[in-house]
Amino acid sequence: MKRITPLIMLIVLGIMTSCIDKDYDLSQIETDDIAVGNNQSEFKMPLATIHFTSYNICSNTSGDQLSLKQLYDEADIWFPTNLPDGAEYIEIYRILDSEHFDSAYFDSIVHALENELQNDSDKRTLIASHIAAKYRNTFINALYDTGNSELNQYAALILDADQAEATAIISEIILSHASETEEAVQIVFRRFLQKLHLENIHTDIPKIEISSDIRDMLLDNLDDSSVENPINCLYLSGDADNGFPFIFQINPHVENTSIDFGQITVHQGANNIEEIRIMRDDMQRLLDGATFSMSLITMRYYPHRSFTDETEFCVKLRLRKTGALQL
Amino acid sequence: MKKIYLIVALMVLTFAGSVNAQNPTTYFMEGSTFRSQWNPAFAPQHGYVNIPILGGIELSTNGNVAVDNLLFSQNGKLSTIFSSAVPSTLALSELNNINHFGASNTLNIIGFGAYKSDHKTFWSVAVNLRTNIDTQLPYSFFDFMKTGKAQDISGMGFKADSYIEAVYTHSFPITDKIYLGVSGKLLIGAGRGRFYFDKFDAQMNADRWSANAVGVMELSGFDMETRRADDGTMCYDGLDSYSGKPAGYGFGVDVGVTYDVLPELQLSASINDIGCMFWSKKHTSRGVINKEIEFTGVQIDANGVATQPEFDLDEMEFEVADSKGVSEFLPTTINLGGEYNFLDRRIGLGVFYSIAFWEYKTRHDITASANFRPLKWLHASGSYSFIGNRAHALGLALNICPARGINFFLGTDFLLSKKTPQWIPVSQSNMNITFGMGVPIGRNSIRHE
Repeated sequence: MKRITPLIMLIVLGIMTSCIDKDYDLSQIETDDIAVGNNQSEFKMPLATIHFTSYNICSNTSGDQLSLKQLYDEADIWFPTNLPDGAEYIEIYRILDSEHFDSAYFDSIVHALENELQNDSDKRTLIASHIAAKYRNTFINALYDTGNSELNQYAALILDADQAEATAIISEIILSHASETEEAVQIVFRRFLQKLHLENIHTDIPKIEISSDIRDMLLDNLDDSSVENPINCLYLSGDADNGFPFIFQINPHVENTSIDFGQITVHQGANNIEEIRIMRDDMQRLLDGATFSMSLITMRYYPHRSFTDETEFCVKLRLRKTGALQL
Repeated sequence: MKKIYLIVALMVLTFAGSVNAQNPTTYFMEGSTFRSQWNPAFAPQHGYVNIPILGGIELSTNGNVAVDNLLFSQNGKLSTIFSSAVPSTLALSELNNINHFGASNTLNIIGFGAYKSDHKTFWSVAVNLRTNIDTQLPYSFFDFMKTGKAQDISGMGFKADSYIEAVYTHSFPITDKIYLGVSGKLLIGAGRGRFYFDKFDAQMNADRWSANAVGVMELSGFDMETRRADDGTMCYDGLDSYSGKPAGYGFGVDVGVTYDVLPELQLSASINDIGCMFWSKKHTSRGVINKEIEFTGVQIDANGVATQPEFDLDEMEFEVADSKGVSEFLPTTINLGGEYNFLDRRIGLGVFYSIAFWEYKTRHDITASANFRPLKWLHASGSYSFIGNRAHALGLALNICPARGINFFLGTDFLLSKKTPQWIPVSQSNMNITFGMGVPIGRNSIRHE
């Protein structure tokens, strides 16, 4: 029995050890790649929603900061009520002093305005009153520059008149001296149009309050730009919800990063901001707090659609991560 | 969920080092000193004194997930199911709606027994360390981890307890054919933990990220660290230390009977672990969580004022709740067996049926056994369990039980199955291994003469 027992034990031990599978060595378990999802996964996350009102979209070219509402309340005075060819909108960028200036289009607007000044007494009075209130000196100087002695006399009268008298005089000479006052009206109109150049908008996005766990999940396993066919990537996209009766061209970007969405045309209503890939460093800067900037060019204005000081332009940014979220 | 909690959960599911004190292959081993743990009416062939610790080491697992459901060997690396390199279709393919895993372990510290002068009445004393683990993870949890899709995750639970039991067993004849056995157990609680989540949801979509947890935690026998959260509530902040004091007391009773219908045919039945464990209020920490956090992005108004909800997973902590004592029934088992012997008991064929009432699931097992006793001191059994087994669940047991010398026992049901270098079965979700060494003493049994 003493001889058999060890032999039996050895046989049993041998049988048991013969079925060892070293592929499943539990001391070699890889735990660094634990993640939520897999290489085919996709995760979306809200990032920031930035609200702009008329007060944020403004001009500062005249030295006074004018809101979009203030600008276009005045624009409604200047622009003809009936646009050339029955158009519903004015292509603002084509009448501003810039690379896109279209003299023929500008002339058509001016021509339509002049027609209304001659044929619509209410329009004439409105503009005359506005000139008397805001642009009196500019108009007077323009009259003097004509060299017409009669207009020079009117200029002197306007200079000393009160608002009502000046309005009446200006209205009168626009009607009676149409051809002579065209240039003066155009000078004042062009002076107004300068205000329609809009300032760039800057908004500070604070530090995103997500825990370090979440932050690491987003950033840890990102492929850098040298990787061909990257799997783990971050993309930034968004929506621009434009409540204003304008078509803008915007260029949203984040300062001190390479996050730049390029030129985007934004119609009234919801607009998609196409996604761009962002790299780890830029995402870290964004999460730590950054400045969101946006240039605006007014492409088109629909004068018969109203808006208020409470009307909003809203940019919503969201993130998309491809690949797994590393734990 | 923090990575460390995931790894621990995975390890529990994988290792479940614990064992169920009861290897079904040992049920019909007449020379084994472990038989009385199945049925207190059973008795070994001789009195014995176990070698401390080595006298009885029993490990078993029971569930519906195996190592190769949770670990994947790919390109020379062994990855967890949560690895991003493991495709979700592969990872989820063999999981069940509810993935559960149970285990219990008995480690014999002291054990001895002897026959009385009639060679039929047997008594024994044992001091054992017992550990029970029961856990369940729903499919939806794994689905979320692998695909990231929002899930309604509910019913995640984990329970473990450990206690020392001092057992006195008395087996005696009622008639020539019927033996009755009773074990009385005094239990001293070493530690207990229970975590259960009624809800554990996470959503990640373009407009909102959120995490919602509703659950309860109970921990006995450990001192917990606490901290005050930003909203003023007291929360648990991790384990401080093991208290080292009994966390509770309990009692248990096993009752069993054997009936020799014929000299060759024996029927047996037992109910084990009828009893309760009382975990004291003083040594029990209790926590609840009912919290939802969400992130909807930073909102910046027209004045440049920014508001945002804070999204911090560290806030998902258990709040300190009023402690209360916990009383629990022990995981009762019912065992039924029958064996027919041939050739002067040299060969026996047996069938054994066991029901175990666990925390999250009632487990059934049917085992067929062929038992060989070519010599009085040499016994071998082969068994096969029919329910819940995967791949090569062939049980084999060997008992060398001389009247003098060393009593050696080894039983396992994963002898032929593929196993890790750490001897954990790879494809088998149910596993048993029993080992014991003791010294025979005193009188022999004449129960079958």
